Amino acid sequence: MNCKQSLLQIDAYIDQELAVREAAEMEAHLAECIDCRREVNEARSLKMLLGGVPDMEPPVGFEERLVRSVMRAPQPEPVRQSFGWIAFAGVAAAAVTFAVLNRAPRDTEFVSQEKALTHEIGQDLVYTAGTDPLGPRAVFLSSYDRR
Amino acid sequence: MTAAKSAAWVLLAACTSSGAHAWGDKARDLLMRTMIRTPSHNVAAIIMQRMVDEPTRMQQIQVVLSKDGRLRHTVLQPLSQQGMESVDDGRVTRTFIPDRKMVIEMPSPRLTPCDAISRIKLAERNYTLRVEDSPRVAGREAVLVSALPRSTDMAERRYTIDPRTGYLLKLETVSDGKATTSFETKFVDYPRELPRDVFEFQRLSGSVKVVVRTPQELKDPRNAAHQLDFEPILPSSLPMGFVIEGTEVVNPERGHMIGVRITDGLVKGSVYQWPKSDEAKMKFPMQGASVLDIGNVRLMLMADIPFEARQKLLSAFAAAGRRGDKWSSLFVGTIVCELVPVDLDLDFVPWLELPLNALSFH
Repeated sequence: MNCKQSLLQIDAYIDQELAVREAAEMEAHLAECIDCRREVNEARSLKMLLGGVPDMEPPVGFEERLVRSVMRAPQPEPVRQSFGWIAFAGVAAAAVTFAVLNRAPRDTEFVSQEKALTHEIGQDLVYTAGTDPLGPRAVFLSSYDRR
Repeated sequence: MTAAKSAAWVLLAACTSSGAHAWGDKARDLLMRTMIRTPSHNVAAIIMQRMVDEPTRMQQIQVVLSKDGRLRHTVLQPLSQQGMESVDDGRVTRTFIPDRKMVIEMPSPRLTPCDAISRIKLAERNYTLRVEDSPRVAGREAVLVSALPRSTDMAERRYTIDPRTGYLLKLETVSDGKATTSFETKFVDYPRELPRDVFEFQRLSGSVKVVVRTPQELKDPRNAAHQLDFEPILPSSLPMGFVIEGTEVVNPERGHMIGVRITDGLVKGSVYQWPKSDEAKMKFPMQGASVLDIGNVRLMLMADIPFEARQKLLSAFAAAGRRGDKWSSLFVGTIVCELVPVDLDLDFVPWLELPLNALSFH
């Protein structure tokens, strides 16, 4: 196993989702590679941090309003900040978003306003494949992968 | 029996009663049967399929299809997609992505009109259809229908069909003597009954539903610039026997990208077009796609055809763009293309920008 393969499997390794042989290969690589070990430790810390976020019940409709406002917001200009502050802000935002999405009210529904062209083309591929009995049986895109 | 299914069977019967016993007619009839949306049998199968947007990866998918046209697909492998499933009840398709607690909902693609008759006519114009062999696939006696293209730029297509049910068991393309399997059935059964709950969609609590609109037909594509923020490029004719089936706005919600639907009867593809100003939103290039810039419009062709054929089709769009008055002074064509063999590690494949005249189309 090399570093690139290892990085792709870190999440699955931490969640103990790897097959026995893959896990053994991963551990053998981690034993040799300090960089990958550091990545694993950081990923583990982040997961523990997020796991410690207290449960919150947002008001009804909060998630829908949040997603809509995020999608409509203009892209901010990059601002020079110290790395520590950005990292803290990133972790805090991730924690809040995780908590909100994980505790979302049931059956929340909104209309997709995804603007990424890849997403639009991807969904179109899913749709058009369904209209073609001589083509692929079903389309599950690589962007649906566990990341 | 639906009207579309009845019509297809009537056509099939007409073909058979006209004394059509030649291999070509048998091949055509078998292909027609595979295009009937609602099959004559329930189907339970496990298939291996090449991923559409990442052709170096394979998926193992469980397929359940009912005689009344309902459909369920569940991903078994790879591990990174395990548990994803899509259920089509004939009206709505719902795709569930468990890790993201997300349900993507869209109207069923099976609501689109059946185009089997026009497709088979076009296919006969562009391919020589014939029955080649009787291989066994997934333990079933099958019939191999070969479609040999009249254009040398296109690949041979090989459809392995169960003649008893019309179910398409395997699809291969053969290019330069090398066969590539698009999908292959590993197990298939035709159960008399299916469990009642197999097409019920279980939604996890807390899951988010994303509603995707179906593409909307662009009524007057040549005069749609005001609607789209760019002028669509539509050639009057295409090479290799392809025709334009229609032009659709891909995401009517946003309305800034169109898909020009093309087919040669057997292969379907789309030429997506959008203003280049949106380019920054493109996160990564898709594999199996060829991209061409014409003026301020970016074109991306997605179709399961050889690289040379994609380039030839795009060159027809380029020529149409050049002919258009608006592009004559603006035309700065560049091709963004994947000039790499499939075996390379695609994560490290650079996308090359070449001037249009660096590539020649014949």
